[in-house]
Amino acid sequence: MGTAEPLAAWYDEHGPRLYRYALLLLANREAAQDAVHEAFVRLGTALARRPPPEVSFGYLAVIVRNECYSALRRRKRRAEDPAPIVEPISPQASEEERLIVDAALKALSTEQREVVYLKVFEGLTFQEISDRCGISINTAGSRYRYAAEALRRTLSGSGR
Amino acid sequence: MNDDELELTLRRYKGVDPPSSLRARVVTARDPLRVPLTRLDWVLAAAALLLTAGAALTDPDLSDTAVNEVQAAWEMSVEELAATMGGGDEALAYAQMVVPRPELTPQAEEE
Repeated sequence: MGTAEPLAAWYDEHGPRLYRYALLLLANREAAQDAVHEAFVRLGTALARRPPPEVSFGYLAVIVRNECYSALRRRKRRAEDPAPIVEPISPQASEEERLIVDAALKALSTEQREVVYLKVFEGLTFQEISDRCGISINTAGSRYRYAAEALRRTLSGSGR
Repeated sequence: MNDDELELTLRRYKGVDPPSSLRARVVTARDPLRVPLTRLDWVLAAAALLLTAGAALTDPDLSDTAVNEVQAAWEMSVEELAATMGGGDEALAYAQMVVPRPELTPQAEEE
């Protein structure tokens, strides 16, 4: 069996979620696609040697996260991507609010945006965030608090 | 706006989905710069490294610098293999096991 079939299966199961994670980290569509692609290149290379023991979302998320931070280190500044990083899933959402939420998230630091994403969008606990990011629970908590304050300021300032 | 209200607001949204083209790109994921190597390739490369190291060791003028260079070459081989496997402690440990470590003794220590 070649590598294409398992890569396709893993992408179908985890790819879109991995991309959303990368996009929230990098706030840039092209960079997020590169990060996911590079993660699958690594996976394909490993697969050509021997099948990895278990390919869970957590396993892939760690690879994608490493790729994202490597990309950030390689390119200190990337051209700002005006495309949205979030889209509505609730009938209560509005285009006006989406623009504000999108801008508020983009204004956060990468580390803060990651913690917000993992807590709010992925539903991880601070312990799980701590494990994923290799930081203490206290650091995860404080990053979230600072991010929440910034988001509240922006959203409240807009009259919400 | 309290924490609950903030989370409620944020949960009205989700990350944007990837373009459909990304699937085709990752399914055929290949790195043209990375040639897939088998364990045998690495063992042969390590053997070549050891031959070089052995030749260096027979040189009566072997210096600490030469020893350091051979050691550095081994470390590079290990790191390259670990990186090809995706990095991480487990990959590094495996690479250290697969690539034989050259036994180097600088001349100064033999005297």
